[in-house]
Parts: sequence; C-alpha cells; structure tokens
Amino acid sequence: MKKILMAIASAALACGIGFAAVGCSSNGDISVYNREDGSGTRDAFLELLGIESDELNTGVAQLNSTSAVIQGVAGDVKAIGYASLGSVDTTVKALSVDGVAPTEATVADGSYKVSRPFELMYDETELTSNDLLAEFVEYLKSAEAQTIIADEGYVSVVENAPAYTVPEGNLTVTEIEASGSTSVGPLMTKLAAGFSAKVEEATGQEVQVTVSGGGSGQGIKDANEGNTEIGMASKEVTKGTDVTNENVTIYQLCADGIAVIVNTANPATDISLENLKKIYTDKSLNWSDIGVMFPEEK
Amino acid sequence: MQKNSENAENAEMSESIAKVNTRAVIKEISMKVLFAIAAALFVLAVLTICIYLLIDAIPTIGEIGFVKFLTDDRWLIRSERFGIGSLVVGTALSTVGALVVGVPIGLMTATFMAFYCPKWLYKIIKPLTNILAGIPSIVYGFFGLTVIVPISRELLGGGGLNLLTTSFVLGIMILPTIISISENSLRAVPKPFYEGAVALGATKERAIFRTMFPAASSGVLTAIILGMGRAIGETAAITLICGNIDQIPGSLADPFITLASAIASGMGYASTTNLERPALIAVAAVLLIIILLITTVVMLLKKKKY
Repeated sequence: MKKILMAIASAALACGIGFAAVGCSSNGDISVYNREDGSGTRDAFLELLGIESDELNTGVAQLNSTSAVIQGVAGDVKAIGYASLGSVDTTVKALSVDGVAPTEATVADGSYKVSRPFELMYDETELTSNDLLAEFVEYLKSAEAQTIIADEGYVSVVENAPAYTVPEGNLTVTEIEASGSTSVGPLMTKLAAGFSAKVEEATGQEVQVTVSGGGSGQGIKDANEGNTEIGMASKEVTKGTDVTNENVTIYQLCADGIAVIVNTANPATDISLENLKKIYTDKSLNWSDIGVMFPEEK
Repeated sequence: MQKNSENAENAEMSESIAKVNTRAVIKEISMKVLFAIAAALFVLAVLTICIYLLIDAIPTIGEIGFVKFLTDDRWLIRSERFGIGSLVVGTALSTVGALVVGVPIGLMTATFMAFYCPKWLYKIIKPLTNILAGIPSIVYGFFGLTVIVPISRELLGGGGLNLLTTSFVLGIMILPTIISISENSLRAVPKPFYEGAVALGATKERAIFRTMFPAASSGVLTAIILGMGRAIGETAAITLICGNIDQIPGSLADPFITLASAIASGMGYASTTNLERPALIAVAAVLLIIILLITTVVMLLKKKKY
C-alpha cells in the first residue's frame, strides 16, 4: 500500500520535474495577455489587427474581464495586453500606436488606429411616421446618452449635447427594434433601458426598444431593407457602397478605442501596428526583437 | 360500554391501546411515505442531470465527430474548433499536481492527528480542517491570484497563471478531504492492531506505517480518490489562476485550461443557435462521466472494512 503510494508520488514528481526542465525554451519573454474567446474587446482587437482566432498567440493568459487583464499587466513587468480605453487606469501604461496616443480625441476622429466607430443606420423618412424612433434618435444625441456611453467605456463624439426632455402625451408607436453588430448591442441595450425608464418616468407609458444581434453585415442589410428600425455596425459604413438605400441616414453613436497596455516598468512608449500584430501572432518574439530594451538587460 | 366486571376494564384498556397503536401506525406510515418521497426526489434529480446531459451531449459529439472532439487540441468555440484534447490533458495534469502537493501533506497531517497530536492541539487542528473545507473555492482562487501568482511569476517568469500555481492551490483545497477521511479510517482500525505490533517489538512509526496504514488502506485510498474528484471538478478557483489557454502545457510554467474552467468561461457568450452551447454541454457530460467513474471506484473500495 505504502509502496504503491510512494511509487505513484515519486513518478508524478519525476514527471513534474521533467516538465519543468523541458519547457520554458521556445517562448519569447513577452507575456501576452488576452481576453477570453467570445469577448467583444477581443473580437474588436483581432478584427482591427487583422488576426484570425486560430493564428493568435494565446500567450500567458486569457482572462475573463478587463480588470483582470489590467491587474495581470500591472503585476507582470514583461506584459502586454489590451483593454477598452475608458477602463485603463494609472497602474498600467497605455502605448501610442504608430505615434498616435490613445486619447478620446484621437479615438473620436479615428486617427488612433486601434479604434472603430459604432454606427447606426435608420430610415430618415420613417422619423415623421414613427414617433418612438424619432424620440429615441433624439435621446441618443442627448447628454443623458453621452453619460451612458462614457460610463460604458466608449468615447462620445457629440459635443455640448443637450439634455433630453420627454414630449408630453403618449407616443403612438410603442416598440421598435435595433439589430446588427453584437459589439454595439450591449451598449444599445443600456441606452434603450435608459430611454424606456426616462419615458416611463415622465409619462407613465411603457415603450420598448428591442436589441438583437446578427453582426454588422446584418445591421447594414436590415437598415437597407427596412427589416428593423435601426441597423447597428461596429465599423465605418459609407453611403453608396454599404448603405444603398437612399433614405437611410448614418449616425455615429460613439467610438470604441482599445488601448494597448504594458507594465509601468516597460521603457516603451510607442508601438507600431505591425509590431503589435507580430506580438499577437508570434510566440517566440522577445521585447528586444522589436527594439524594447529593459534596463536590466542593457 | 359494559361496566360491571374486570373484563370490561380490560376491554377498555386494550381498546385505548389499539387506538394509540393505529395512530402510531398512521404516523409511522405517513413519515415513511414522506421520507420515501424525499429520497425519490433526490434520485430523480440525479437521474435527470445524468440523462439530460447525456441526451444533449451525444448528438453534439456525433456532429462534431467523436475522434475530433477528443483529440483536437484547440478549443475555440467562436471559430467552431471543439477539441477537448488540451482540456482533458490540462485537467489530468492539474489533478496530478494537486495530488503531488496534497497527498503527502494530507496523509502526514492525518497520521499526526490520529497518533501523535496532544489533545489540546487536536482541539485546534480538527476545527481548522473543517474551516478549510468550508472556505468557498472562489476565495481560494483569490488567495492564489494575490499571493501565489506573484511568487510563481517571480520563480518561473511569465504571467504566473500556470500549472504550478494551480497545482499548489488545488493541493491545499483537497487537504481537508484527504485529512478528515484518512484520519477517520486510521482511527477506525481496532486498537489491538497497534498494540499487537508494539508488543511484538515494533517502533511507533513502524506500527503506524506497517500495521495501521495497510489496515486502513481502503479508507486512505477513498480519501485520495475523493480529493482527486474535487480537484477534477473544481471550477471557480481554477478559472482565476490557470490562464485559460487551450494548449497542452509544455512545462510547469505554462498556462493551461481544464474541462470545468472551459465551461465556466465559455458559458457567458455561447450562442444556443449553433454548436457553441451544445459543445459546452458535451464537455460537462465528459466531466460528469469522469466523476461517475471515480465515484464508482470509491464505492467499490468502500466495500472493504476500514
């Protein structure tokens, strides 16, 4: 009995030691942090960098939340990670990409490359017949909506937004639907809830903005064909090429910026988009390979 | 009712006894039924879980392809890569790691508690093991993340979320199971076994390791296997500290993923309209089958005496 146990234990121990000795060789010294498969931030980051999910350098950790990534990078000198711009704090350092620092201004105007606009598409002519749609669009441009957008970590693109006032009397339409990008979806759900609460508080009427998914392509299609009242896309859409329906207006709801974060002890301040892509696809890369020299290695 | 003889009195008495009896019988039967219903509900719950999981899982595994499901080492549900190879290996390695850490410490602690421990100290240690068993697993995870991860990062480099960290935390988590069950089984061995060994000239250590441990072997093995079961199914703590990377770890310093943590981190997003959600249920079924096998082994071992 004891012998069997000892044999099992020592075999396991030997395995473990063998493991430890064999490993640690082929990987570079960059601790790459990712979000888990399915995360909207991860999807956006990979899409913006043009990386397929199966060529991704899975790195040292795929964490379930933005705060976990920030915490991981804050405690790991050789780390690199990414997080929604609004949630980055001073425990980590956000790098500029291709010389452009990630700020609300550079994200809003699109010059910061790891960013994307959230676009909405709706039929301009419907606004007169569908008062709920007209009011909701009005609400999206208001100060209240900008607060929600900022709270969710996105960058507002509307300056000096007016406060929203609910019109007197009941609305004739009580339900509309927004469909499309699953990245925009969670924000739209929050905005829809804020709008419904505001209307119910003022007039007691219950209105509903249903948010469904399908992806940006579906959102554009739905807006063109009028399947739903609002189409949502998490990429730039242009009139004529994407939006073929003459009556459809494109409204930029906000911008989504993803900050590339490193440990505060990392000497780098800037990274090229190309190097960023290399780090996230090549496991064997070291910081020195992209010209970042840590003080102790000099 | 008649009033005049002793017979009457007797009759009255037996009647009241009968009354009490019927009442007691009714009470007994109703309680029996109540207990039976409770037991039936419990059995039903277990059966429902098993049947539900298997019915859902089998067609999914068929659709993915049995061999591909088991051997593919990429688990990317968004890209429809449903391979649990790395998940199974990760679960197995972390369980072995937990046993390497937990079994020696646990068995030695149990020996200490059963044979060496002074009474006053036992009064402190025993409740401590119970407290250790009662700590929610997410707390262990948080302890691992804030205390063990930085140490592991210092020692091995990288992110610190790796096989070594997880093995260590899991090893601590399975301690209470191993300690209490093996201590109980050591205590259940009749005293004469020990006394006999000492009387024959054995030292205390020899008597314990050569007489008591073999006599309690089935209990000790049960303790280890139940600890293993806990390590395999552990979710909340592992999800925080394993790194969640669908790869077969090449060293103790590499992050990995287990069956349970893959389910936990995938469930939040998995869509029901395609294979994502069903694939997670199939993983749950695999986990269930593993745990059922372990429970069966424990039941077979329990047939022995101590």
